[in-house]
Amino acid sequence: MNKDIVVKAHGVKKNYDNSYALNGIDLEVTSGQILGFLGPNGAGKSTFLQSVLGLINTEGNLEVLGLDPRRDRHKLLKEVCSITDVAVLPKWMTVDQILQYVDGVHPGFDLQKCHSILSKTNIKRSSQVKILSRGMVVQLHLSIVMAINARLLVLDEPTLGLDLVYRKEFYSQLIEDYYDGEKTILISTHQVEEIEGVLSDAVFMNQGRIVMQDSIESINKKFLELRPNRDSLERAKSLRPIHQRVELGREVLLFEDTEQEKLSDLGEVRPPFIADLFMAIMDKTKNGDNA
Amino acid sequence: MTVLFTMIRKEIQEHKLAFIYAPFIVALVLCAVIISVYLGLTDIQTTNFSFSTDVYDEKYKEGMLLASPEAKTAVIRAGLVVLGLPILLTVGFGLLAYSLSTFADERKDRSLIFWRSLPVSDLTTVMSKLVFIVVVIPLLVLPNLILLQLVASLSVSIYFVSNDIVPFGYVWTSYFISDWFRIIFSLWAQALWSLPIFYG
Repeated sequence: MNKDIVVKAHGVKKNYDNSYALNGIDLEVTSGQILGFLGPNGAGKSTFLQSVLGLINTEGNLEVLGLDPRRDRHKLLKEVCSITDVAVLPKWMTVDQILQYVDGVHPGFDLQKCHSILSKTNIKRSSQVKILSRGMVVQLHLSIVMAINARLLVLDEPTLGLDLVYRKEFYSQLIEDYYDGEKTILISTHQVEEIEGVLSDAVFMNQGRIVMQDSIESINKKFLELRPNRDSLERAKSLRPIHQRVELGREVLLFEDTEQEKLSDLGEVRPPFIADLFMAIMDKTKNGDNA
Repeated sequence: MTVLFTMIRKEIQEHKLAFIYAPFIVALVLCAVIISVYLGLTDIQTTNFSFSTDVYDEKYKEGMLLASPEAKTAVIRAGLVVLGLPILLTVGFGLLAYSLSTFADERKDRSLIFWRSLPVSDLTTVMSKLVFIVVVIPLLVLPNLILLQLVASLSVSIYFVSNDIVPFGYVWTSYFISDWFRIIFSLWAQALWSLPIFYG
């Protein structure tokens, strides 16, 4: 099946005071992907997502849904939704006033659908945003976004500052009620372990560059984690793991492109958690830089 | 057009305190003061300003009797215009505060990020704020001035007629409507004056 290209970036750069927040990003995102941007603070994740939304100017070629976000932001936002932070809904407004406003300015917004989503929550339509809890504000924002018929959803740290229950609810609602296989979602978050099961693809970023980019399916095939038995540790190390760490007093070795059969005899083998793989890739990049 | 209307409605909702409630409260207080003064319940005397029926003494009555019809009208009209000044001042301060803070506040509470996530062009955003300042605010304020003038004119008419100062008709002349337009122009002048701050 042919997939539409939703985001196409080539050599995208953003310079702040002689340091590059983005240093040559090449990326292609197709429809239906749920792409996670992972990386330490200052890696350039938010900067890239802001450039996709046309909120900042960048150098290089960037196309979102066939449009230039720098020039056609207004047109683009009819097809693109975003939750870029938790505290951005205007505090002075009531829920109903916000819904009326979005209904008035967004041609793809379905007010009835939004009312029906909100009716399943504890949010009263007459409440002012300032009296809602942080979790409720995010829930409201998500309800608005879910009632918009958009092709691309950009989530930049959408659950920052929320407790575990709200974070879990946010992602389960997103996947069960919003994602339909056609929509594309770009997510940046520090809580990697919580979105791991949601992602179809991952992009690891560091210092304004993409250090690794692959589908979760391919990552699970390519990388394997081995907890070797005590007597097999030296044999396991001889198979040249790409990373090694100690977890609860036990060595954990990460292998790339190594056949599972070779490892199975040496101990417990399973695909790595994205967070662990991410740490390993970051260490590898750091060591590579130092070498 | 729906987009512009929605955005202007949002400006009205956000600034109803400065441009709906505040002028209305000032108008109500002024109306109460005017009615009280003409009913003889109170008077205001300060070193620079006096608002009291004491001014309508025999000398005033005599002056009004001798004055030409134009002069009589001018005296009453001047009083009515002065009465509206507190409302215009209130709105003037509101306009100044609005022009200074309209974009800064949205940036400060980060709601600007939400507004900018919706498909509204920057031009439409600026247009909505301009139309709000130049057209909507005068329209919101004008009913208060009309209310004040009507209450004042009615009070003055009743007082003047019952005290044989001038006949009823002098207070109720066609200058009313032309004065309302003058007031709109003065509000536009205030708005234009605050535009450079808005853009800054």
